[in-house]
Amino acid sequence: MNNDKEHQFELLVRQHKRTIYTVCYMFSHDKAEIDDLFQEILIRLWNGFDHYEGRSTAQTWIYRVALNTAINQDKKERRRIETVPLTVDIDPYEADDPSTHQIRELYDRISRLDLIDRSLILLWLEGISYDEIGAIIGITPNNVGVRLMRIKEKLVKMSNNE
Amino acid sequence: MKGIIMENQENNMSELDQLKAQYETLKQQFDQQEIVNDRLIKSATQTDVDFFAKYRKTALIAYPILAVLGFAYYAYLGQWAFAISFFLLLAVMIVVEMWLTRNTRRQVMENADLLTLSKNMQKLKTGYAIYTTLILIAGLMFVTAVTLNKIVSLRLYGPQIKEAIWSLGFAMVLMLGFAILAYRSFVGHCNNVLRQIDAMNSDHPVRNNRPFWCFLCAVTLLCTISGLLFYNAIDSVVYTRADNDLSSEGKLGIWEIYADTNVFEKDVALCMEQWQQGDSIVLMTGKSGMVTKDIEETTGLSCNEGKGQLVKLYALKETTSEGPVISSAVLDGKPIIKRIEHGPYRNRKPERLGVFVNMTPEASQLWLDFTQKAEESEAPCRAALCLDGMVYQEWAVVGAISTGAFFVTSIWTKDEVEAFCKRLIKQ
Repeated sequence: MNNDKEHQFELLVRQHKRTIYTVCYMFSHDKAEIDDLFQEILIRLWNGFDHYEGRSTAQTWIYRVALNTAINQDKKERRRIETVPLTVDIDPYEADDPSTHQIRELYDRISRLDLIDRSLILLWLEGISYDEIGAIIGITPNNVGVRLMRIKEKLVKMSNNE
Repeated sequence: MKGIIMENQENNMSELDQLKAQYETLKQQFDQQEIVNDRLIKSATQTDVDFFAKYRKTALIAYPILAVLGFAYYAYLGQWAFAISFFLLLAVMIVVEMWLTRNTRRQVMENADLLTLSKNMQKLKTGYAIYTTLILIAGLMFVTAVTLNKIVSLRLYGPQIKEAIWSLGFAMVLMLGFAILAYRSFVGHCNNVLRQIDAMNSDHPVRNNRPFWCFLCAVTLLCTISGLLFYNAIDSVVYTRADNDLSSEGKLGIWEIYADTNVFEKDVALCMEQWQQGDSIVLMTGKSGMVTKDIEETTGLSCNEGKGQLVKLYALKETTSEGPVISSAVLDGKPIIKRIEHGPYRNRKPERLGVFVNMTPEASQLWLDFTQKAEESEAPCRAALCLDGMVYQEWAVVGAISTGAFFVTSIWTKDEVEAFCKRLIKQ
Protein backbone atom coordinates (compact mmCIF):
# COMPACT_ATOMS: atom_id res chain seq x y z
CA MET A 1 0.00 0.00 0.00
CA ASN A 2 2.76 2.37 1.04
CA ASN A 3 4.89 1.30 -1.92
CA ASP A 4 1.98 2.10 -4.20
CA LYS A 5 1.70 5.56 -2.67
CA GLU A 6 5.42 6.09 -3.06
CA HIS A 7 5.21 5.00 -6.66
CA GLN A 8 2.36 7.45 -7.36
CA PHE A 9 4.27 10.21 -5.62
CA GLU A 10 7.39 9.46 -7.62
CA LEU A 11 5.43 9.64 -10.87
CA LEU A 12 3.89 12.94 -9.87
CA VAL A 13 7.25 14.43 -8.88
CA ARG A 14 8.96 13.24 -12.04
CA GLN A 15 6.10 14.68 -14.09
CA HIS A 16 6.39 18.10 -12.41
CA LYS A 17 10.11 18.16 -11.66
CA ARG A 18 10.62 21.23 -13.84
CA THR A 19 7.88 23.19 -12.04
CA ILE A 20 9.54 22.52 -8.68
CA TYR A 21 13.00 23.20 -10.01
CA THR A 22 11.90 26.52 -11.55
CA VAL A 23 10.46 27.68 -8.23
CA CYS A 24 13.63 26.60 -6.45
CA TYR A 25 15.79 28.43 -8.96
CA MET A 26 13.80 31.65 -8.76
CA PHE A 27 13.90 31.69 -4.95
CA SER A 28 17.50 30.63 -4.37
CA HIS A 29 20.91 32.25 -4.62
CA ASP A 30 23.14 29.31 -5.44
CA LYS A 31 23.08 25.67 -6.48
CA ALA A 32 23.36 24.31 -2.95
CA GLU A 33 20.36 26.35 -1.92
CA ILE A 34 18.38 24.90 -4.85
CA ASP A 35 19.23 21.39 -3.65
CA ASP A 36 18.09 22.20 -0.11
CA LEU A 37 14.89 23.89 -1.17
CA PHE A 38 14.03 21.17 -3.68
CA GLN A 39 14.36 18.57 -0.98
CA GLU A 40 12.22 20.49 1.47
CA ILE A 41 9.52 20.97 -1.15
CA LEU A 42 9.55 17.24 -1.86
CA ILE A 43 9.20 16.50 1.86
CA ARG A 44 6.28 18.90 2.17
CA LEU A 45 4.64 17.48 -0.92
CA TRP A 46 5.03 13.99 0.49
CA ASN A 47 3.59 15.07 3.84
CA GLY A 48 0.63 16.69 2.13
CA PHE A 49 0.20 13.95 -0.47
CA ASP A 50 -2.43 12.11 1.61
CA HIS A 51 -4.50 15.26 1.82
CA TYR A 52 -4.32 16.17 -1.83
CA GLU A 53 -7.87 15.46 -2.88
CA GLY A 54 -7.62 16.48 -6.49
CA ARG A 55 -9.88 19.50 -6.09
CA SER A 56 -7.27 21.56 -7.90
CA THR A 57 -4.97 20.37 -10.66
CA ALA A 58 -1.76 18.64 -9.61
CA GLN A 59 0.21 21.56 -11.02
CA THR A 60 -1.73 24.12 -8.96
CA TRP A 61 -1.23 22.04 -5.84
CA ILE A 62 2.48 21.61 -6.50
CA TYR A 63 2.91 25.30 -7.21
CA ARG A 64 1.05 26.19 -4.05
CA VAL A 65 3.16 23.93 -1.85
CA ALA A 66 6.39 24.88 -3.63
CA LEU A 67 5.75 28.63 -3.38
CA ASN A 68 4.61 28.34 0.26
CA THR A 69 7.79 26.44 1.07
CA ALA A 70 10.01 28.83 -0.85
CA ILE A 71 8.46 31.88 0.76
CA ASN A 72 8.19 30.47 4.27
CA GLN A 73 11.57 28.86 4.19
CA ASP A 74 13.28 28.36 7.49
CA LYS A 75 16.90 28.15 6.43
CA LYS A 76 18.19 27.20 9.85
CA GLU A 77 15.71 24.35 10.09
CA ARG A 78 16.47 23.18 6.56
CA ARG A 79 20.20 22.93 7.20
CA ARG A 80 19.49 20.17 9.70
CA ILE A 81 18.36 17.85 6.91
CA GLU A 82 20.93 15.85 5.08
CA THR A 83 20.65 17.09 1.50
CA VAL A 84 20.60 14.66 -1.39
CA PRO A 85 22.11 16.35 -4.49
CA LEU A 86 19.87 16.74 -7.52
CA THR A 87 20.75 15.10 -10.79
CA VAL A 88 21.37 18.25 -12.82
CA ASP A 89 24.08 18.78 -15.42
CA ILE A 90 23.94 22.56 -15.64
CA ASP A 91 24.67 25.24 -13.14
CA PRO A 92 22.20 28.00 -14.01
CA TYR A 93 24.24 30.46 -11.95
CA GLU A 94 27.62 29.69 -13.49
CA ALA A 95 27.36 28.09 -16.95
CA ASP A 96 28.22 30.35 -19.86
CA ASP A 97 26.41 28.97 -22.91
CA PRO A 98 23.88 31.30 -24.65
CA SER A 99 20.73 29.58 -23.40
CA THR A 100 21.92 29.55 -19.78
CA HIS A 101 22.89 33.17 -20.22
CA GLN A 102 19.26 33.88 -21.20
CA ILE A 103 17.98 32.02 -18.17
CA ARG A 104 20.27 34.03 -15.94
CA GLU A 105 18.99 37.25 -17.46
CA LEU A 106 15.45 36.18 -16.63
CA TYR A 107 16.57 35.32 -13.11
CA ASP A 108 18.26 38.72 -12.70
CA ARG A 109 15.08 40.51 -13.69
CA ILE A 110 12.69 38.45 -11.64
CA SER A 111 14.86 38.26 -8.53
CA ARG A 112 14.71 42.05 -8.22
CA LEU A 113 10.97 41.78 -7.57
CA ASP A 114 9.65 41.13 -4.10
CA LEU A 115 8.55 37.61 -3.20
CA ILE A 116 4.85 37.87 -4.03
CA ASP A 117 5.53 39.59 -7.35
CA ARG A 118 8.12 36.95 -8.13
CA SER A 119 5.51 34.25 -7.49
CA LEU A 120 2.91 36.03 -9.61
CA ILE A 121 5.11 36.58 -12.62
CA LEU A 122 6.35 33.02 -12.44
CA LEU A 123 2.81 31.68 -12.50
CA TRP A 124 1.88 34.02 -15.30
CA LEU A 125 4.88 32.96 -17.36
CA GLU A 126 3.86 29.36 -16.81
CA GLY A 127 0.58 30.24 -18.50
CA ILE A 128 -1.62 29.59 -15.50
CA SER A 129 -5.03 31.29 -15.56
CA TYR A 130 -5.81 34.28 -13.34
CA ASP A 131 -8.33 32.18 -11.44
CA GLU A 132 -5.72 29.56 -10.62
CA ILE A 133 -3.08 32.17 -9.76
CA GLY A 134 -5.63 33.75 -7.39
CA ALA A 135 -6.28 30.36 -5.83
CA ILE A 136 -2.56 29.74 -5.32
CA ILE A 137 -1.71 33.16 -3.90
CA GLY A 138 -5.00 33.80 -2.14
CA ILE A 139 -6.18 36.91 -3.96
CA THR A 140 -9.05 37.56 -6.37
CA PRO A 141 -8.52 37.12 -10.14
CA ASN A 142 -9.13 40.87 -10.59
CA ASN A 143 -6.42 41.61 -8.08
CA VAL A 144 -4.13 39.23 -9.97
CA GLY A 145 -4.69 41.27 -13.12
CA VAL A 146 -4.00 44.58 -11.39
CA ARG A 147 -0.88 43.28 -9.71
CA LEU A 148 0.45 41.74 -12.90
CA MET A 149 0.01 45.04 -14.67
CA ARG A 150 2.01 46.79 -11.94
CA ILE A 151 4.70 44.13 -12.07
CA LYS A 152 5.05 44.54 -15.80
CA GLU A 153 5.43 48.30 -15.34
CA LYS A 154 8.05 47.69 -12.67
CA LEU A 155 9.97 45.40 -15.00
CA VAL A 156 9.90 48.01 -17.77
CA LYS A 157 11.11 50.69 -15.37
CA MET A 158 13.94 48.45 -14.21
CA SER A 159 14.87 47.74 -17.79
CA ASN A 160 14.84 51.45 -18.69
CA ASN A 161 17.01 52.31 -15.67
CA GLU A 162 19.73 49.86 -16.72
CA MET B 1 -0.70 61.80 -23.80
CA LYS B 2 -2.28 58.99 -25.79
CA GLY B 3 1.02 58.62 -27.63
CA ILE B 4 2.96 58.14 -24.39
CA ILE B 5 0.51 55.45 -23.19
CA MET B 6 0.80 53.66 -26.54
CA GLU B 7 4.58 53.81 -26.31
CA ASN B 8 4.51 52.40 -22.75
CA GLN B 9 2.26 49.55 -23.82
CA GLU B 10 4.63 48.75 -26.68
CA ASN B 11 7.57 48.78 -24.26
CA ASN B 12 5.63 46.52 -21.92
CA MET B 13 4.89 44.12 -24.72
CA SER B 14 8.46 43.86 -25.86
CA GLU B 15 9.66 43.44 -22.28
CA LEU B 16 7.11 40.70 -21.66
CA ASP B 17 7.87 39.02 -24.96
CA GLN B 18 11.50 38.92 -23.92
CA LEU B 19 10.55 37.45 -20.58
CA LYS B 20 8.37 34.84 -22.21
CA ALA B 21 11.12 33.88 -24.61
CA GLN B 22 13.59 33.57 -21.76
CA TYR B 23 11.11 31.49 -19.81
CA GLU B 24 10.66 29.14 -22.76
CA THR B 25 14.43 28.66 -22.83
CA LEU B 26 14.37 27.96 -19.13
CA LYS B 27 11.62 25.38 -19.58
CA GLN B 28 13.52 23.64 -22.36
CA GLN B 29 16.75 23.64 -20.39
CA PHE B 30 15.19 22.31 -17.22
CA ASP B 31 13.01 19.77 -19.05
CA GLN B 32 16.16 18.19 -20.41
CA GLN B 33 17.50 17.60 -16.91
CA GLU B 34 16.86 14.43 -14.96
CA ILE B 35 16.73 16.39 -11.66
CA VAL B 36 14.91 13.77 -9.55
CA ASN B 37 16.71 10.60 -8.50
CA ASP B 38 15.58 7.60 -6.47
CA ARG B 39 17.66 8.53 -3.45
CA LEU B 40 16.03 11.92 -3.35
CA ILE B 41 12.52 10.45 -3.43
CA LYS B 42 13.43 7.93 -0.72
CA SER B 43 14.92 10.66 1.40
CA ALA B 44 11.81 12.84 1.02
CA THR B 45 9.38 10.07 1.88
CA GLN B 46 11.34 9.04 4.95
CA THR B 47 12.18 12.42 6.43
CA ASP B 48 9.97 14.49 8.61
CA VAL B 49 11.44 17.94 9.14
CA ASP B 50 8.27 19.72 9.92
CA PHE B 51 8.61 21.99 12.94
CA PHE B 52 5.15 21.26 14.32
CA ALA B 53 5.57 17.51 13.92
CA LYS B 54 8.80 17.75 15.93
CA TYR B 55 7.17 19.97 18.53
CA ARG B 56 4.34 17.47 18.76
CA LYS B 57 6.70 14.54 19.23
CA THR B 58 8.59 16.40 21.96
CA ALA B 59 5.35 17.22 23.76
CA LEU B 60 4.15 13.64 23.33
CA ILE B 61 7.31 12.31 24.98
CA ALA B 62 8.02 15.05 27.54
CA TYR B 63 4.55 15.57 29.01
CA PRO B 64 3.80 11.93 29.89
CA ILE B 65 7.23 11.66 31.56
CA LEU B 66 6.53 14.84 33.55
CA ALA B 67 3.03 13.61 34.37
CA VAL B 68 4.30 10.29 35.71
CA LEU B 69 7.18 11.90 37.64
CA GLY B 70 4.89 14.54 39.17
CA PHE B 71 2.27 11.95 40.01
CA ALA B 72 4.87 9.66 41.61
CA TYR B 73 6.38 12.55 43.58
CA TYR B 74 3.10 13.75 45.07
CA ALA B 75 1.82 10.22 45.59
CA TYR B 76 5.06 9.43 47.46
CA LEU B 77 4.40 12.45 49.69
CA GLY B 78 0.88 11.16 50.25
CA GLN B 79 -0.63 14.20 48.54
CA TRP B 80 -3.07 12.34 46.33
CA ALA B 81 -5.20 15.37 45.47
CA PHE B 82 -2.12 17.10 44.03
CA ALA B 83 -0.90 13.94 42.35
CA ILE B 84 -4.22 13.45 40.56
CA SER B 85 -4.69 17.13 39.65
CA PHE B 86 -1.11 17.35 38.35
CA PHE B 87 -1.66 14.26 36.25
CA LEU B 88 -4.98 15.57 34.92
CA LEU B 89 -3.47 18.98 34.13
CA LEU B 90 -0.74 17.38 32.05
CA ALA B 91 -3.19 14.99 30.41
CA VAL B 92 -5.29 17.99 29.31
CA MET B 93 -2.11 19.71 28.10
CA ILE B 94 -1.14 16.67 26.03
CA VAL B 95 -4.56 16.47 24.38
CA VAL B 96 -4.70 20.21 23.62
CA GLU B 97 -1.09 20.34 22.35
CA MET B 98 -1.68 17.34 20.14
CA TRP B 99 -4.81 18.82 18.66
CA LEU B 100 -3.29 22.26 18.24
CA THR B 101 -0.05 21.13 16.63
CA ARG B 102 -1.88 18.65 14.40
CA ASN B 103 -4.18 21.42 13.26
CA THR B 104 -1.29 23.82 12.76
CA ARG B 105 0.70 21.26 10.87
CA ARG B 106 -2.24 20.61 8.59
CA GLN B 107 -2.66 24.35 8.00
CA VAL B 108 1.00 24.89 7.25
CA MET B 109 1.87 21.74 5.38
CA GLU B 110 -1.12 21.44 3.19
CA ASN B 111 -2.29 23.36 0.26
CA ALA B 112 -3.76 26.50 1.77
CA ASP B 113 -3.11 29.62 -0.26
CA LEU B 114 -0.83 32.27 1.23
CA LEU B 115 -3.51 34.64 2.45
CA THR B 116 -5.56 31.86 4.03
CA LEU B 117 -2.37 30.50 5.57
CA SER B 118 -1.53 33.88 7.09
CA LYS B 119 -5.05 34.23 8.50
CA ASN B 120 -4.90 30.71 9.93
CA MET B 121 -1.52 31.43 11.47
CA GLN B 122 -2.93 34.51 13.13
CA LYS B 123 -5.81 32.50 14.57
CA LEU B 124 -3.43 29.83 15.78
CA LYS B 125 -1.24 32.43 17.47
CA THR B 126 -4.22 33.83 19.34
CA GLY B 127 -5.45 30.34 20.17
CA TYR B 128 -2.06 29.32 21.49
CA ALA B 129 -1.78 32.50 23.57
CA ILE B 130 -5.16 31.80 25.18
CA TYR B 131 -4.26 28.16 25.70
CA THR B 132 -0.87 28.96 27.28
CA THR B 133 -2.47 31.56 29.55
CA LEU B 134 -5.13 29.09 30.70
CA ILE B 135 -2.52 26.43 31.36
CA LEU B 136 -0.47 29.01 33.22
CA ILE B 137 -3.45 29.93 35.39
CA ALA B 138 -3.98 26.26 36.21
CA GLY B 139 -0.24 25.79 36.81
CA LEU B 140 0.02 28.83 39.07
CA MET B 141 -3.06 27.78 41.01
CA PHE B 142 -1.46 24.39 41.41
CA VAL B 143 1.89 25.76 42.57
CA THR B 144 0.12 28.18 44.93
CA ALA B 145 -1.96 25.37 46.38
CA VAL B 146 1.11 23.18 46.86
CA THR B 147 2.98 26.08 48.46
CA LEU B 148 0.16 26.88 50.86
CA ASN B 149 -0.12 23.23 51.72
CA LYS B 150 3.64 23.02 52.27
CA ILE B 151 3.59 26.09 54.48
CA VAL B 152 0.96 24.51 56.68
CA SER B 153 2.90 21.29 57.03
CA LEU B 154 6.23 23.08 57.40
CA ARG B 155 5.07 25.28 60.24
CA LEU B 156 6.44 22.62 62.49
CA TYR B 157 9.92 23.54 61.32
CA GLY B 158 9.61 27.32 61.41
CA PRO B 159 12.74 28.65 59.67
CA GLN B 160 12.32 26.20 56.77
CA ILE B 161 9.17 27.98 55.63
CA LYS B 162 11.26 30.58 53.88
CA GLU B 163 13.31 27.87 52.22
CA ALA B 164 10.12 26.23 51.02
CA ILE B 165 8.85 29.53 49.69
CA TRP B 166 12.11 30.14 47.85
CA SER B 167 12.21 26.68 46.31
CA LEU B 168 8.57 26.76 45.28
CA GLY B 169 8.96 30.34 44.05
CA PHE B 170 11.85 29.07 41.96
CA ALA B 171 9.60 26.28 40.61
CA MET B 172 7.03 28.90 39.69
CA VAL B 173 9.58 31.06 37.87
CA LEU B 174 10.81 27.94 36.08
CA MET B 175 7.26 27.12 35.04
CA LEU B 176 6.73 30.66 33.79
CA GLY B 177 9.98 30.41 31.87
CA PHE B 178 8.85 27.18 30.25
CA ALA B 179 5.50 28.68 29.34
CA ILE B 180 7.12 31.75 27.79
CA LEU B 181 9.64 29.60 25.92
CA ALA B 182 6.95 27.25 24.64
CA TYR B 183 4.86 30.22 23.58
CA ARG B 184 7.77 31.93 21.91
CA SER B 185 8.89 28.80 20.07
CA PHE B 186 5.41 27.99 18.80
CA VAL B 187 4.30 31.53 18.08
CA GLY B 188 7.80 32.46 16.94
CA HIS B 189 7.44 29.92 14.20
CA CYS B 190 4.02 31.30 13.22
CA ASN B 191 5.55 34.78 13.25
CA ASN B 192 8.31 33.70 10.90
CA VAL B 193 5.74 32.55 8.40
CA LEU B 194 3.65 35.66 8.90
CA ARG B 195 6.62 37.98 8.62
CA GLN B 196 7.51 36.48 5.25
CA ILE B 197 3.97 36.84 3.96
CA ASP B 198 3.66 40.29 5.47
CA ALA B 199 6.91 41.42 3.87
CA MET B 200 5.87 40.32 0.45
CA ASN B 201 2.26 41.38 0.60
CA SER B 202 1.95 44.94 1.77
CA ASP B 203 -1.68 45.12 0.61
CA HIS B 204 -2.65 42.66 3.31
CA PRO B 205 -0.63 43.40 6.43
CA VAL B 206 -1.12 40.47 8.72
CA ARG B 207 1.54 40.84 11.37
CA ASN B 208 0.00 41.27 14.76
CA ASN B 209 1.90 41.15 18.02
CA ARG B 210 -1.21 41.74 20.11
CA PRO B 211 -1.51 38.10 21.25
CA PHE B 212 2.02 38.16 22.64
CA TRP B 213 1.46 41.41 24.52
CA CYS B 214 -1.85 40.09 25.84
CA PHE B 215 -0.03 36.96 26.91
CA LEU B 216 2.69 38.96 28.66
CA CYS B 217 0.08 41.13 30.41
CA ALA B 218 -1.80 38.01 31.52
CA VAL B 219 1.44 36.48 32.81
CA THR B 220 2.33 39.67 34.68
CA LEU B 221 -1.15 39.85 36.18
CA LEU B 222 -1.00 36.23 37.22
CA CYS B 223 2.42 36.68 38.76
CA THR B 224 1.15 39.66 40.72
CA ILE B 225 -1.89 37.76 41.97
CA SER B 226 0.27 34.80 42.78
CA GLY B 227 2.82 37.02 44.53
CA LEU B 228 0.06 38.58 46.62
CA LEU B 229 -1.18 35.12 47.54
CA PHE B 230 2.32 34.13 48.59
CA TYR B 231 2.75 37.36 50.49
CA ASN B 232 -0.47 36.69 52.38
CA ALA B 233 0.58 33.12 52.89
CA ILE B 234 3.87 34.02 54.51
CA ASP B 235 2.65 37.16 56.20
CA SER B 236 3.32 36.25 59.80
CA VAL B 237 2.97 38.31 62.97
CA VAL B 238 6.12 39.11 64.89
CA TYR B 239 6.45 40.32 68.48
CA THR B 240 9.83 41.54 69.65
CA ARG B 241 10.63 42.52 73.17
CA ALA B 242 12.53 45.80 73.51
CA ASP B 243 15.96 45.50 75.17
CA ASN B 244 14.99 47.72 78.09
CA ASP B 245 11.62 46.00 78.58
CA LEU B 246 11.90 43.91 81.73
CA SER B 247 8.20 43.80 82.48
CA SER B 248 6.71 40.44 83.32
CA GLU B 249 3.17 39.11 83.57
CA GLY B 250 2.60 35.57 84.76
CA LYS B 251 5.08 32.76 85.06
CA LEU B 252 6.98 31.04 82.30
CA GLY B 253 9.43 28.18 82.70
CA ILE B 254 11.00 25.31 80.86
CA TRP B 255 11.00 22.21 83.03
CA GLU B 256 12.45 18.76 82.83
CA ILE B 257 9.75 16.10 82.66
CA TYR B 258 9.93 13.36 85.26
CA ALA B 259 6.78 11.49 84.25
CA ASP B 260 3.49 12.01 82.42
CA THR B 261 0.18 10.30 81.81
CA ASN B 262 -3.26 10.84 80.32
CA VAL B 263 -6.21 11.06 82.72
CA PHE B 264 -9.83 12.10 82.46
CA GLU B 265 -10.59 15.68 83.45
CA LYS B 266 -12.62 14.60 86.50
CA ASP B 267 -9.77 12.40 87.76
CA VAL B 268 -7.06 15.09 87.63
CA ALA B 269 -7.34 16.11 91.30
CA LEU B 270 -7.26 12.50 92.47
CA CYS B 271 -4.27 11.67 90.32
CA MET B 272 -2.40 14.77 91.47
CA GLU B 273 -2.86 13.67 95.04
CA GLN B 274 -1.59 10.18 94.28
CA TRP B 275 1.33 11.53 92.25
CA GLN B 276 2.65 13.94 94.89
CA GLN B 277 6.08 12.46 95.54
CA GLY B 278 8.18 15.14 97.19
CA ASP B 279 9.42 18.71 97.10
CA SER B 280 11.44 18.35 93.89
CA ILE B 281 8.38 17.36 91.82
CA VAL B 282 5.79 19.85 90.52
CA LEU B 283 2.55 18.66 88.96
CA MET B 284 1.03 20.44 86.01
CA THR B 285 -1.55 19.63 83.38
CA GLY B 286 -1.50 20.10 79.65
CA LYS B 287 -3.75 19.63 76.64
CA SER B 288 -4.14 16.01 75.67
CA GLY B 289 -6.26 16.39 72.58
CA MET B 290 -8.24 13.51 71.17
CA VAL B 291 -7.94 9.96 72.43
CA THR B 292 -5.84 8.33 69.78
CA LYS B 293 -5.45 4.62 69.18
CA ASP B 294 -2.03 4.80 70.85
CA ILE B 295 -3.48 6.38 73.98
CA GLU B 296 -6.28 3.80 74.04
CA GLU B 297 -3.77 0.96 73.76
CA THR B 298 -1.27 2.27 76.33
CA THR B 299 -3.71 3.60 78.93
CA GLY B 300 -6.83 1.57 78.32
CA LEU B 301 -8.80 4.84 78.32
CA SER B 302 -11.60 5.47 75.91
CA CYS B 303 -13.71 8.53 75.30
CA ASN B 304 -16.74 6.29 75.07
CA GLU B 305 -16.65 5.94 78.83
CA GLY B 306 -18.35 9.35 79.09
CA LYS B 307 -15.92 10.78 81.62
CA GLY B 308 -15.14 13.99 79.68
CA GLN B 309 -11.99 15.15 77.91
CA LEU B 310 -8.60 13.68 78.51
CA VAL B 311 -5.97 15.81 80.25
CA LYS B 312 -2.26 15.18 80.27
CA LEU B 313 -0.73 15.17 83.72
CA TYR B 314 2.95 16.00 84.05
CA ALA B 315 5.35 15.47 86.94
CA LEU B 316 8.08 18.06 86.39
CA LYS B 317 11.51 18.13 88.06
CA GLU B 318 12.66 21.18 89.88
CA THR B 319 16.25 20.74 88.72
CA THR B 320 17.90 23.74 90.41
CA SER B 321 17.56 25.37 93.76
CA GLU B 322 16.03 28.43 92.04
CA GLY B 323 13.41 26.47 90.18
CA PRO B 324 13.02 24.82 86.78
CA VAL B 325 15.56 24.46 83.96
CA ILE B 326 14.97 27.99 82.72
CA SER B 327 12.75 30.66 84.20
CA SER B 328 12.90 34.34 85.05
CA ALA B 329 13.63 33.20 88.62
CA VAL B 330 16.80 31.43 87.44
CA LEU B 331 17.68 34.51 85.35
CA ASP B 332 17.32 36.88 88.28
CA GLY B 333 13.98 38.14 87.02
CA LYS B 334 15.15 38.78 83.48
CA PRO B 335 12.76 37.80 80.68
CA ILE B 336 13.21 34.50 78.83
CA ILE B 337 11.60 35.37 75.49
CA LYS B 338 13.07 37.84 73.03
CA ARG B 339 11.01 37.34 69.89
CA ILE B 340 7.89 35.48 68.79
CA GLU B 341 6.62 34.82 65.28
CA HIS B 342 3.31 33.24 64.37
CA GLY B 343 1.25 32.65 61.27
CA PRO B 344 0.52 32.48 58.39
CA TYR B 345 -3.11 31.37 58.58
CA ARG B 346 -5.31 29.68 56.08
CA ASN B 347 -8.64 30.19 57.86
CA ARG B 348 -10.13 31.09 61.18
CA LYS B 349 -11.13 27.55 62.10
CA PRO B 350 -8.99 25.69 64.64
CA GLU B 351 -6.04 24.04 62.90
CA ARG B 352 -2.52 22.95 63.75
CA LEU B 353 -0.61 26.19 64.09
CA GLY B 354 2.91 26.92 65.15
CA VAL B 355 4.61 29.67 67.10
CA PHE B 356 8.30 30.20 66.58
CA VAL B 357 10.06 31.54 69.67
CA ASN B 358 13.54 33.00 70.19
CA MET B 359 14.98 33.19 73.70
CA THR B 360 17.06 35.98 75.12
CA PRO B 361 20.84 35.36 75.00
CA GLU B 362 20.97 34.48 78.71
CA ALA B 363 18.08 32.03 78.41
CA SER B 364 19.64 30.57 75.25
CA GLN B 365 22.86 29.86 77.18
CA LEU B 366 20.94 28.08 79.93
CA TRP B 367 19.01 26.08 77.34
CA LEU B 368 22.28 25.11 75.66
CA ASP B 369 23.76 24.01 79.00
CA PHE B 370 20.70 21.91 79.73
CA THR B 371 20.54 20.29 76.29
CA GLN B 372 24.28 19.59 76.37
CA LYS B 373 23.88 17.74 79.67
CA ALA B 374 20.94 15.86 78.19
CA GLU B 375 23.07 14.87 75.21
CA GLU B 376 25.84 13.58 77.44
CA SER B 377 23.56 11.65 79.81
CA GLU B 378 22.62 8.11 78.86
CA ALA B 379 18.96 8.38 79.82
CA PRO B 380 16.68 10.23 77.36
CA CYS B 381 15.60 13.63 78.57
CA ARG B 382 12.34 15.49 78.03
CA ALA B 383 11.46 19.12 78.65
CA ALA B 384 8.18 21.01 78.90
CA LEU B 385 7.24 24.65 78.32
CA CYS B 386 4.91 25.78 81.08
CA LEU B 387 2.99 29.01 81.19
CA ASP B 388 0.99 29.96 84.26
CA GLY B 389 0.79 26.41 85.56
CA MET B 390 -0.10 24.84 82.22
CA VAL B 391 2.14 22.77 79.94
CA TYR B 392 1.96 24.04 76.37
CA GLN B 393 4.68 22.03 74.71
CA GLU B 394 6.91 19.09 75.44
CA TRP B 395 10.08 18.04 73.66
CA ALA B 396 12.36 15.05 73.67
CA VAL B 397 15.88 16.47 73.91
CA VAL B 398 18.31 14.41 71.86
CA GLY B 399 21.17 16.85 71.31
CA ALA B 400 22.64 20.21 72.23
CA ILE B 401 20.62 23.17 70.95
CA SER B 402 22.59 26.35 70.50
CA THR B 403 20.07 28.37 68.49
CA GLY B 404 18.04 29.41 71.52
CA ALA B 405 14.91 28.82 69.48
CA PHE B 406 11.96 26.48 69.85
CA PHE B 407 8.60 25.83 68.29
CA VAL B 408 5.24 25.57 70.03
CA THR B 409 2.45 23.85 68.13
CA SER B 410 -1.12 23.04 68.94
CA ILE B 411 -4.54 22.90 67.38
CA TRP B 412 -5.95 26.33 68.02
CA THR B 413 -7.56 29.31 66.31
CA LYS B 414 -5.75 32.45 65.21
CA ASP B 415 -7.27 34.38 68.15
CA GLU B 416 -6.04 31.75 70.60
CA VAL B 417 -2.54 31.90 69.13
CA GLU B 418 -2.49 35.68 69.34
CA ALA B 419 -3.64 35.62 72.96
CA PHE B 420 -0.99 33.00 73.78
CA CYS B 421 1.77 35.00 72.06
CA LYS B 422 0.81 38.22 73.81
CA ARG B 423 1.05 36.43 77.15
CA LEU B 424 4.25 34.66 76.22
CA ILE B 425 6.14 37.78 75.18
CA LYS B 426 5.44 39.39 78.51
CA GLN B 427 7.00 36.58 80.53
